[in-house]
Amino acid sequence: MALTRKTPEHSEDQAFTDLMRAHQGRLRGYVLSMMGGDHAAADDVLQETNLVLVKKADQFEAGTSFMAWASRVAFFEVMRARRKMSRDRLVLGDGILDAVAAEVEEQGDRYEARSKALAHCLRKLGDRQRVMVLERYYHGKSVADLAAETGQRANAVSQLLFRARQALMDCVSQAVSG
Amino acid sequence: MNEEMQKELEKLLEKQLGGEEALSGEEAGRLNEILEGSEEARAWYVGHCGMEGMLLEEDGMMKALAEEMGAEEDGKVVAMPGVGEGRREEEEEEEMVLGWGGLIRVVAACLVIGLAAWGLLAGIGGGEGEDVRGEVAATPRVEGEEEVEVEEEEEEVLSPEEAYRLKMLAVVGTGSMDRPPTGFEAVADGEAVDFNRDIRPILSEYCFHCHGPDAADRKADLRVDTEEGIFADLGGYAAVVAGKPEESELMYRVLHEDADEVMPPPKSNKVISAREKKLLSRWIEEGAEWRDHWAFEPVERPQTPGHPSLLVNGYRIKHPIDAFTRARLKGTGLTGAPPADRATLARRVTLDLTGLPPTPEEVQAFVSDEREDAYGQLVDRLLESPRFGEHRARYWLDAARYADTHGFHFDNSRSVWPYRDWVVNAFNANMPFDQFTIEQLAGDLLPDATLEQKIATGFNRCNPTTNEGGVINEEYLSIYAKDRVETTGTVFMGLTMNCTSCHDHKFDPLTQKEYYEMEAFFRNTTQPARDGNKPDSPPNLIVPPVEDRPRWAELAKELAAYDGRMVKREKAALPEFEKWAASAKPGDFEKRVKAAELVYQLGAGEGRESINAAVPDQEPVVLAKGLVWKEEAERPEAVLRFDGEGGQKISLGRDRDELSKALAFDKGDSFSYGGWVKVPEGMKGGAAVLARMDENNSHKGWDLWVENGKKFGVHLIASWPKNSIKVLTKTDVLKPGEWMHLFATYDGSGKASGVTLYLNGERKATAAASDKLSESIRVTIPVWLGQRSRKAIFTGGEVSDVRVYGRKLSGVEVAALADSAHFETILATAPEERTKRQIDDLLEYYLETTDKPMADLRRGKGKLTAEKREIQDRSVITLVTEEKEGEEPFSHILNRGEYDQPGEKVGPGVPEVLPPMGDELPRNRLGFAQWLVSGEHPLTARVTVNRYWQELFGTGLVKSSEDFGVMGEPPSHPKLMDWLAAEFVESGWDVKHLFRTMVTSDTYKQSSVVSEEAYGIDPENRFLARGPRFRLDAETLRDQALYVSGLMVETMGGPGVRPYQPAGLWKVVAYPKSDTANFVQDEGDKLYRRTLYTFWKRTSPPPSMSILDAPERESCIVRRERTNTPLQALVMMNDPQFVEAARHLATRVLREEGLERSGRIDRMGWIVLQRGLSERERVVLEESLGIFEDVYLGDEAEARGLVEVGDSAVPEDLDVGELAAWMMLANQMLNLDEVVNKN
Repeated sequence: MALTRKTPEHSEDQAFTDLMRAHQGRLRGYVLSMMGGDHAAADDVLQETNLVLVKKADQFEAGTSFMAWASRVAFFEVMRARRKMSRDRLVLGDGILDAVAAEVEEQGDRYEARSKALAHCLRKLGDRQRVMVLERYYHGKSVADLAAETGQRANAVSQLLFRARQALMDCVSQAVSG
Repeated sequence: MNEEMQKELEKLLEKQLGGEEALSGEEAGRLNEILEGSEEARAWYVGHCGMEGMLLEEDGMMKALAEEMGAEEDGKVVAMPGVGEGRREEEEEEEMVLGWGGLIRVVAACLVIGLAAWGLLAGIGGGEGEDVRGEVAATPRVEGEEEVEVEEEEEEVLSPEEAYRLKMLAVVGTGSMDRPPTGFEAVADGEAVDFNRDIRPILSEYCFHCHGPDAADRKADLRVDTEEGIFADLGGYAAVVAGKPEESELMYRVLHEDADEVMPPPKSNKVISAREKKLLSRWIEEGAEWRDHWAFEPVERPQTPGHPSLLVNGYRIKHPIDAFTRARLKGTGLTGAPPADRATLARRVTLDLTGLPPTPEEVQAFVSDEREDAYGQLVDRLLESPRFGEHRARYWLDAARYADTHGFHFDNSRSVWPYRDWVVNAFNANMPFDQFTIEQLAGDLLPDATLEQKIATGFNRCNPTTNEGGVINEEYLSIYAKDRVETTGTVFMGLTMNCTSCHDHKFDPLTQKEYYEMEAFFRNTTQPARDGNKPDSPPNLIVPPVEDRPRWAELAKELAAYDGRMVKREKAALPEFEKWAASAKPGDFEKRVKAAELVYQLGAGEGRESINAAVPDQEPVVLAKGLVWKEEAERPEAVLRFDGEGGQKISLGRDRDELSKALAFDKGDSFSYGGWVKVPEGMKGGAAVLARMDENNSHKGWDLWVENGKKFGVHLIASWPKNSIKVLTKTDVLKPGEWMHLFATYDGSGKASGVTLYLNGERKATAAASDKLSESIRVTIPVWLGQRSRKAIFTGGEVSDVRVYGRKLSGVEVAALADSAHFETILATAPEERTKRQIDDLLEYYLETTDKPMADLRRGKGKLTAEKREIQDRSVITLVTEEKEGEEPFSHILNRGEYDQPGEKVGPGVPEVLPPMGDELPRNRLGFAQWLVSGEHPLTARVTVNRYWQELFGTGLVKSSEDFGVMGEPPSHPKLMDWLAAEFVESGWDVKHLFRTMVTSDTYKQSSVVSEEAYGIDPENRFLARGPRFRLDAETLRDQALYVSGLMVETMGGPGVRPYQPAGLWKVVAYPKSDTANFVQDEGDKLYRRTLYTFWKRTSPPPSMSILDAPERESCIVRRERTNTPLQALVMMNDPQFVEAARHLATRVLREEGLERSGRIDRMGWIVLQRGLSERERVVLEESLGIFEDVYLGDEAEARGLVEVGDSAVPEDLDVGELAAWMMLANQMLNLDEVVNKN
């Protein structure tokens, strides 16, 4: 597999790709929220969403809010996935989706600032937490892998990661508001 | 959001985002509740998900961090033990080239390549890919890869394509020379890869989950579980191209390193080993021969290798089984073991065929029997022993999930033990296995089914049932049907049918639809959802004692014959009847109908005046305050009105003793009563119109009852409510304020069905609120009008012409009572103008009262009925299966197996992968059973012989005896398996023949002694290079102790018995109202019966059995666990059953005459081990005995404490201390490894 290189013929596509790329974090956060934190389901939905975004790239008007457009697509993909999934796999009930979506929208505004803050906050994590965060999110290891590698129980790793995230969230909110 | 909620939310999110384990339904529910309830919680939740998204996707930031850390302190990442060890550099290198997350990589690449590449994306992306499928170009993969390759070369990194080619070269290049083994079946040099043995297990393990039988979960529309699918053209390429591994997509994917390409995908957490990859490649290289799953192929009798004169390692094959097993040893480094010594063999075969050890005398006789066929003789004798059936039945009852309680909720007792005895008898009678199968699954559907054949259908009734209030009937009917499908699937077909109730099978070619088609066979029965907490939950069958059964069967026929003759007589009597009808006079009716056996009539004969006049004289005829005795124009007879607030009563007068006697009905008597009744307006609750009922004595007695002014009926009560009959009209038939004629007749049957209710001469439909009467209802207190002994007062009610008859009145007679002019009207009508109803009534009356031949027939039938009732009183009840009459079997596909989501309706059918049902077979359980044993079925015989093999050898030829599907283990000896199956079917499914064949093989007779080296090669003895040796099953251990000690009581059959168990066990698990809440230990002989007959309570099975690995009998088990725990030793050493057995064994040895101390020890050795002791053993045992004597000889209290364990009497002729010491020695010997194991 190759990474696309910037070439003159594809500059327009490239701009679009850049946008998509820049919004992956937001989109994943959105989809993950809507899928009740179910990673596997969110993976599928995000994948479908990206496919649709690429396919409909020509419908996107440069200059308008990419996130607004992309989250509409994502919303439909979420709903489509929910229809296909068996009811017992759905984590969130129908009644609560709108409220969650609204909350994501509200928090989405400050994404740029938050992401800047995150870069800073990551460096403030304790070594142990930082190592784990990198292993988990950068090297993409599963909690089970990490547990096996470090000889801990999986829920201990989950807990450590959870605390790291909590610390990051606290740090980020402080930085953004302050 | 409070703190507690916050904590809970934290826990939930931590689990969910950790991603290791999905939230349970309950947890998801809580998450929703919290999120719904609090905006703060939502904000926090979304924040966490957002953070997760950011961390996962902001690769740039993370990369910078990683680099920084690397630079800052090289190796910090590996500072934590184990984390990222030795891989950081390499992977980061790659990451730097590749950049960000997998999917965007693909998307971006595709943008460059153009939409032509979408096909590929759709292909690997799984899902449905609808959006893009239309735009797939012909060969996208090649195009895409070329692009990729150029790019990668610039980076001077091997392209995946190149890496793949290199690897392929490595694998293909060495594949043919390096023959890897698979499973326990090595691929021998020069032997081709066998698809079923070597390849299918790989495909099923790694591929079938997404590319297998389940259409709903199938990815990329590719299936590799069928020949068609695996070779299918996928648009210029195929999963497998025979002979060309390098062109096979399957190899491409399996060998690929890229996470997006490699199969199985990393997400599955499955990794194909190098050995398996090589095997796949070799298989394709050798031509990729496809074979269907072995177990679904027809059984073909294989040639016995080299039999009968083959010489292997100097060993001459004489037995077909040995030909297969010896051939199998080739190349394993194992040779067969020498024969076991004769004493060991005698013990082994006796335990295997009867479940009990041999006696010393039997062993000695066999050891010294020099006849050539001594062993054959021994086997024949054992096969003829009734213990054979008991022992075989014990295994079968695990599979049939037999138990003596219902299982769910109250777990009340259940009466189905006649079925257990049927199984024992069937094995002893050597019932062919096909018949055995048919009778259990569908004996009730056989033409002229015998009592035994119906008992056999208890097999389908052994599933756990419920009577819990509030359960949904449909749900439980569905659960019961599933249990039957799964049990039948496991026992007869070795199929894991349960996997298909919610979706198509993941591995075996079975669809969800086929599951429900099979279920249809088992859903068409009359069994209700609730068992009523009754032991005889219907449908049931009366099972007379064996000696009564011939007469019982005859009686049914004779009674049917009487019915036939009565019908005939009815026709034959017509001419005489017409003659009679023409001349009959109204007066005849008065006499016959109204007067015959009339025991009491209110005011009759004496007239209204005389009643009034009689009052002062005859106690206790008292007209109390508020009781009105009046005349009414509407009623020809006097009317009695119950007026006032209560306390009004009238007891029946006249000759009190005489009347009391005449009205002293019991449950076996037939009688009738009722009269004209006017129910008051607005009546609430119940009241008695007429009653002889003692409210102070559990309401014993009988009454005519009016309920809420709407329904009426009767009570016949021995003890309310447990032992009583209560029958009411089904609907609200009473009209307050109107005179109505209420009448009840009872036939003395003790059943609710024997009660008939009439309103105004018309028979009314009834409902039984209680139907369980087994004791006397006779009372001596007076009969009351308008109330029971104290209460249930019929305030405001009126009655007239109340009558009681000492016989059951016919319908026409009751009609005549309701309409006194009934017959007069008929007779007044000219014969040719009478209506059909009028003629029928007249005929009925004639036949019942006037026709002599009919009277004779009735008398004859009455005698037979009485005889039948007598036998019935001696009989027991067993649960049976009964088909719904006049209904075609059907079922609904249940969406995800949920009872409340029925989908398509399906009829009965069998899975397509199996042979079709013959056209001649009925589409019901019977047809299904016949299909199983048609001889064409590839599974029935294989699964059965495998289970029998397992009983003898400890492990089946197919180890997973419950699963012959793709995920089961392939047979260790495929040809032997088929030979045995063929032999079994061709012998006419002869079970004893099969056992004889197996136990007479040298393979079975081998010594189980094994060298360390041979054990190292084959610890589980799957190659059968030695004889079987394993720990005896729970029941056999207990039976053995009882048997060698001389305690065993070998009575066969009967209800379950309750031997020793610790107190309070049942109580802990039971509802207080359960009839098995209190364990009451049996006494005497029942403590020493074979374990097969122990009462099996599902929620608390006999604990000593459970500890020794007996299953709970909640579901079908065809393979027990065999564990080794300290608890087991504690049971064997301390359970009263075993301790008492040791005492009896000691007593037995101490009572032998003319034996010295060492002679007694030797004798004990013979009894327990069935062999002589070695000198060393004798020394050790004597030492032990000495130690025990030191403890007990001088301490009588201690000794007494020991010898008094158990209910049996302590022998008075033996010294207590000596007995205790010997008892401990016996206990020790009973715990010897050699005793606890089959050797």
